Amino acid sequence: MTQTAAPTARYIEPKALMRIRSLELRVKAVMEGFVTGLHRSPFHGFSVEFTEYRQFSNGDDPRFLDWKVVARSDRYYIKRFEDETNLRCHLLVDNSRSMSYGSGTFAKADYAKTLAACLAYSLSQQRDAVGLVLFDEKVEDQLPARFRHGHLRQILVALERATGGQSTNLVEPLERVASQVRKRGLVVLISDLLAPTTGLERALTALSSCGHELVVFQTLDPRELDFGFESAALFVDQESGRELYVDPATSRDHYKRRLDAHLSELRTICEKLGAIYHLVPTDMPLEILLGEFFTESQRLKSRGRQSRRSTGGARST
Amino acid sequence: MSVLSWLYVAGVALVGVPIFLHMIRRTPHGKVPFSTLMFLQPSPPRMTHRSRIEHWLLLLLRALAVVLIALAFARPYWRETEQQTLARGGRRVALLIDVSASLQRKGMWAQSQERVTHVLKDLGSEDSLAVFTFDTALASVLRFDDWDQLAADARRPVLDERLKTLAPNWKGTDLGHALSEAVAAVAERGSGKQPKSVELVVISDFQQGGRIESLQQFQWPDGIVVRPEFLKANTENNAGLHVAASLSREDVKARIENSIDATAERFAIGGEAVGNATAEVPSQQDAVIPPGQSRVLKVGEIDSSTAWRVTLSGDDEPFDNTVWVSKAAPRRVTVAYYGNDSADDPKALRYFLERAFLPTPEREVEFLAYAAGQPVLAGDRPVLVFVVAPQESSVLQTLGKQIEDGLRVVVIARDDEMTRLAVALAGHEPVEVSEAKVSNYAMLTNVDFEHPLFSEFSDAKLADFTKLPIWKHRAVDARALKGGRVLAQFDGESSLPALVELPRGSGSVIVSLFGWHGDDSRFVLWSKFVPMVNHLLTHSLGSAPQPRGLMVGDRLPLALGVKDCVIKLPSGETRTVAASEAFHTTEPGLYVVTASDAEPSVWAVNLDPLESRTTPLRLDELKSLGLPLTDMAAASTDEERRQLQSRELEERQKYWQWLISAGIVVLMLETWLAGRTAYQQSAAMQG
Repeated sequence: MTQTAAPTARYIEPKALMRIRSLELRVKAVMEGFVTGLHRSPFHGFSVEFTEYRQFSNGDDPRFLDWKVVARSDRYYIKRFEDETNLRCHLLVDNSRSMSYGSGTFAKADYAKTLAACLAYSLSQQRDAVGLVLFDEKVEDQLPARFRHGHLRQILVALERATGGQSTNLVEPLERVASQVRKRGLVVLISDLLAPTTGLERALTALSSCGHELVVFQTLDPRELDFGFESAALFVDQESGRELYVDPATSRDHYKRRLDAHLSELRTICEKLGAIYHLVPTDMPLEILLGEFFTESQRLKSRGRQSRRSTGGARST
Repeated sequence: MSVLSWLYVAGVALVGVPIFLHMIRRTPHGKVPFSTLMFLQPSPPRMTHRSRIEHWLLLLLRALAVVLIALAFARPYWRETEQQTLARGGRRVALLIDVSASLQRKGMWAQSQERVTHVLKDLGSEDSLAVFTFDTALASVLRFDDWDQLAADARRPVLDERLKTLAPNWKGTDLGHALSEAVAAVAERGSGKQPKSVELVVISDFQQGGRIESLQQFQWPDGIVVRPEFLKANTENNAGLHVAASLSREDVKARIENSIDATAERFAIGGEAVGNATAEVPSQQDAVIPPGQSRVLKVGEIDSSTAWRVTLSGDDEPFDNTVWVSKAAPRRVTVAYYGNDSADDPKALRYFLERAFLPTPEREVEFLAYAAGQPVLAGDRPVLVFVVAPQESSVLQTLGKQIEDGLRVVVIARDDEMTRLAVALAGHEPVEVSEAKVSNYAMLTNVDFEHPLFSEFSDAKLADFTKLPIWKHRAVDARALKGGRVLAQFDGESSLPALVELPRGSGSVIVSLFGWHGDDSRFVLWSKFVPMVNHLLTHSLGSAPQPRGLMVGDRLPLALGVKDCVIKLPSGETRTVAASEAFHTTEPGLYVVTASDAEPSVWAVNLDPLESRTTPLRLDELKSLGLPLTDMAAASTDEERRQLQSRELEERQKYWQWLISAGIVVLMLETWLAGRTAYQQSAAMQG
């Protein structure tokens, strides 16, 4: 049985959270109290939910032989259990230059990294395997999905070390993950997705067709959402360096229209592919986001298990 | 008003920049980084409401600063009006015209006259002019005072009249001497006016043989500038022919010098005997001489009765292609000795003097000794007389008369009596004489190197007189010898005279207040004795030794005491020259001198060999000699000259300094005003 964490009424404001320089401390601050009862106790053993017996055949690992059945019936059976803990989660974190934008005291990248770190921490706590892919226009850093001692720390270090890259190119990193990660798992994409959607759909489709569950976090600065500038200025594209004279008074509506169109397009793509889409303003407390995510992922899990039971199929480990 | 750099005047257009900046829209303040511009569209530029000027004074100050600085860079100057020139008092221009033999080249004199006209045309009414000509010496044509005293409208006619008489002569060039003399002549102040700078305009071919090297040590006074006006030869090739020195008296050698910039290399020399058709003539010879080199050829052997005219062919300029050669018989001169010594007594002065005068190609010396009481022969006309013993009054009278006519007598006073005799011989009042008290020995000091007795030793290497100890001498107060020239003094506190020249008529008496031999000194054994007395003899002959032969401008060596001397000039004219009158040659050729009681002698007079070195000096060579050249020297065309004049004018006026200063002041005002305006605006906004 899993228990959903009851969201507390008092969240840590991201603005206050980001003042903590250490990513690890930041993660602990978020996760403290949040994880209690969220997942099963790791001390219950390897797995408790029995799935089926299967007749032993050559090549099977003799460790999984049910010796009691052998003693009782002199037949060789393999006892199979539900794979619950070995979820493979790949965190795809956008580290392009556009992520370095922040209207407040912190950048979108800081928020995204904290979110990724929280997820990694939380999943590690559940004994799930977590991997990390940092990318801008190419893959910068990649850690395979593992559950082992020190792996979380490696992920935190990689996240903390990451410096701003260049432009955003979602297609190549996603296709690379699709080609490298053959085992089905959970793919979490954290990006501002401020790039043309033409290639994005193709890449997400590739991931989805591999059987991965997709969760998309689109992190955007509140200023990007409302374009709340006041005076006319030369706006400089952080990725391309292009300059454009823009008067917000006259351009705001146009901007919002085009942004909304872009977001709805992304949402449509995600719905089509069965991916979970989250629009994340960086002023949203992380606890809320994590709560939604785990609730959603539990729902997905249970739905997937039910569907597998009903169809008699099973996920291979 | 005019400016030197018109390009900078275009900088005045920058005055539009402040106006433009003032009026134009403001560009957006700063830049705003944003994650992406993919949803943004460019806004049309928003114009500010600057349709009118808000800060007129600020704008005017900024525009004024730009205009002032741009004008300063353009370096403006006022072209001086006649009034301003008047106020400055005009220029002082000294015109030096080269009239040396090298100006005999084709077209050079016409070119020189053209330059003179050009210089005169540039003169203002208040300018002062002096005109000189120069060859080996400087000659004044018109002085500043003359010019200033003449009425303004009479100046040019007078000057033109004098310039008409000028023509190039056949003398050499001594530009260094001419310039230093000219500086001395023009450095004197004008009549009552303030001393001004003088521009020396030198119209010359500036040939390499112009002896300008002497200017290296010359100290140029302030305010003197030299403007060289180069005359350019129409021809390239010039080779010079000159007589070269030879060991034998009969051998005649000629040196052919080819100029550095010549293109011709093949030359030929030939010649003819003058006045004697049967005499041997110079041999015809060809020679190949590369540019810048010289070669000595043997022309032939000449006997004493013949004169030759040797000519060179193969170059473009004939002025230095002829040399004249004559072999005059050595002149017989008499040196008289008045003393009682024996000719063979090595302890007597006569023994040394008789042997001191050696024969040379120019002269043969006859040494006549007269003992006391021996009558002086009427026909003897000695050139130099030594008196070492007291003489009878008749002898002294004869000598006195001859001294009056130009004779030089040397009296060696070995005692007080001889000293008195010498003073009497010079026609001087008697002086007090005593025997000097010499402790140890005395030496000669304060030697007058300009006198012919010592002029040979003026070089520092030879001017050592410390090796002549004088143990005994006479003491005479130099102040008592009025009109006497002290040639040397004894060392010591009293600075007694040792050698004194007392003039009498055309001649003089040299009194030696110490004996030349015996107990007094070892003067006769001294290494300087022989050259000293020989040089005194040569000088007494009336001419300096001429190892190079006679050059145009040299004095003809006429015999002393000859009353009527007829000289036949190369041009065919004859001149009668009185006794002791110097005759200077004026043209190359043969001069036949006929004295009343002697055989005619033929003197060959030639061009100065340096005149053949016609290659012009470069401007930088003149600079390296320290000439204070004007900037105008570098100008070759009228346009360049005009530009340089403008630059000079601008450098004198220096208006740019005032403009820059004014610009700085305006900028400071602008800064203050702008700061004040900004402060007031911000205070108003905050308030």
